Amino acid sequence: MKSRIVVLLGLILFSSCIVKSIQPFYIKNSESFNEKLIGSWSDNKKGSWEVLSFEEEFKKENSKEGNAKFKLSKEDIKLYETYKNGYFIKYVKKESEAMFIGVPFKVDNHFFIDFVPFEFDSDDISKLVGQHLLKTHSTALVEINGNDSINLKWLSEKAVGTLLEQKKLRLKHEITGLDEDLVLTASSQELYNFLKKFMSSDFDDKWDNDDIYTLTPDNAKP
Amino acid sequence: MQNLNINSILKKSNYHRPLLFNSVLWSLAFIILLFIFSKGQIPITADYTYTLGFLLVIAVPVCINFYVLIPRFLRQERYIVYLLLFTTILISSAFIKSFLFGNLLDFIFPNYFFVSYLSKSDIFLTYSIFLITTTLFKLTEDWFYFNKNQNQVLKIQNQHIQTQLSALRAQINPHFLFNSLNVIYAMALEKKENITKAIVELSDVLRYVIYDSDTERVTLKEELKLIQNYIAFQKYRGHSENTVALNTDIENDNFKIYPMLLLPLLENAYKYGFSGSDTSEKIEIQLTQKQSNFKFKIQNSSQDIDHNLDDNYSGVGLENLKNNLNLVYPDKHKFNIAETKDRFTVVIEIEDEQ
Repeated sequence: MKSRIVVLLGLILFSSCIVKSIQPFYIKNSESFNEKLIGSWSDNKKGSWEVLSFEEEFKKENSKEGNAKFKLSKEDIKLYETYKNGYFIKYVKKESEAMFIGVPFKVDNHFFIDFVPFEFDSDDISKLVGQHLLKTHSTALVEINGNDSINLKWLSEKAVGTLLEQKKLRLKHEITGLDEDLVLTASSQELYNFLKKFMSSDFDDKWDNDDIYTLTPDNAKP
Repeated sequence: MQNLNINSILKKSNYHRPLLFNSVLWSLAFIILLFIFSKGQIPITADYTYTLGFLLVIAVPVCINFYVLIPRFLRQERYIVYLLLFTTILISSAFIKSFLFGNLLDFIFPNYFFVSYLSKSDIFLTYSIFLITTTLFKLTEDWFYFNKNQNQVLKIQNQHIQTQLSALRAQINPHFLFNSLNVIYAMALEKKENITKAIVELSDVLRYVIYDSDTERVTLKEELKLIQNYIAFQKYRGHSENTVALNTDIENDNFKIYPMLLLPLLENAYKYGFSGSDTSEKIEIQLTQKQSNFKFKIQNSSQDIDHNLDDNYSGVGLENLKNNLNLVYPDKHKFNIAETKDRFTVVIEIEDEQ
């Protein structure tokens, strides 16, 4: 499966305050597929979401190409093994489309999704720019509400930055770029341990309202 | 002579400073670990807290090693038992640390995030390095103080030997002096003309005995001269110079020996070798020196008098000589006394590389 990487400049999917990480936030044995997220959703920020099972989409995609079982490259097999418990997540806002791979995982009793960009809409002129960009991971806490809606609460730079400024957190990171973005460089195990502690800790401004998305299923009755 | 007990001196002069040692050790450990845990960046509060907590936890196995395992097993040369116990302590403490330390820190400091520090696998490696390094540090400290104690013991031993030697010499000098004064006294009573010459010869002997012999070594030439002077002096006591057969075979007359080794034997021979009536009695001296070997053999007739080694009248006599040889030439000399019905023989043999 060839990924079509196109970059759309100026596309800001989310507010720029989410925490980015080089490594995924989950560890292998924490993965936990949740079928409830499969479906189409609309969020409170005028965006629409389509969540698909990675495994099913992967199989569909390869069966279209015929006899795919014997034509899968090593990279494809590796991709499948890595994300078979995950989702294809299509996000559309203002006619701009982006694809993510989302891996659901559990931290104690809390349900999270690790997001990493997969495909972007762009034009050919921006290919050079695209080569400068690094696909980083982000993570969001998933809260399933009583009315079938779900909240996606992204781990925000504000909360992590505050802990770093207060010198209460030792987590490998870099402050990089013109915008002085915070990029976590810790291992997945360290990130996972951080999330455990983060969820069990009680402090103000744990979640930034700008980074909370409420998703309502499209087939929900008004 | 009393033997020095090194253990008693080591116990008395215990230079160990546990407070100083532990202060240096744990301060160094704190600085090094803080640097490691802060990844070379400016340490933050979480780093200080984690480092302090880490040291408090690891102090338990380290102290067990320092104050139980090393003194009871390593110093007693029970190496295998020590290694087994050391490994057991290492593994068990690292195991406990890996499972409890994080939870303990989170419990005590709920608002701190100790994340990018040691993983479980790193803990075993870090514990191994830390325990081995501190063991070496402790052994270095032990060696430092042991060496200091050894030097102290050597100094004390040396001082002790010097004191003993001085004491022994001090016992010889009056012995010889009194004998000689008795001779001069007898000559004065008899108003002998050569009394002045005798006094001069005595003063030569005394100068050597009192001043020249007060060094660690004298040449064989000087010691031989003393013997010759002494024999010459003895003629005033009625002994013909022919009563002594002095045979020398010396390769190097600058060969150095401990002073005043030979005179006590000659004194002894004069004292017990003559009955007074038999003029044919002789003292035979054979003095040889070849390369590193020196041999002195003296024979006199036996007068059925007990050659008591602890002769109270003459001071310490042959016992002094024996002690001197043991102190100055340990394992490098032979001192033999043989007595037959009519001959009394003393042989000193010294091997001394110079």
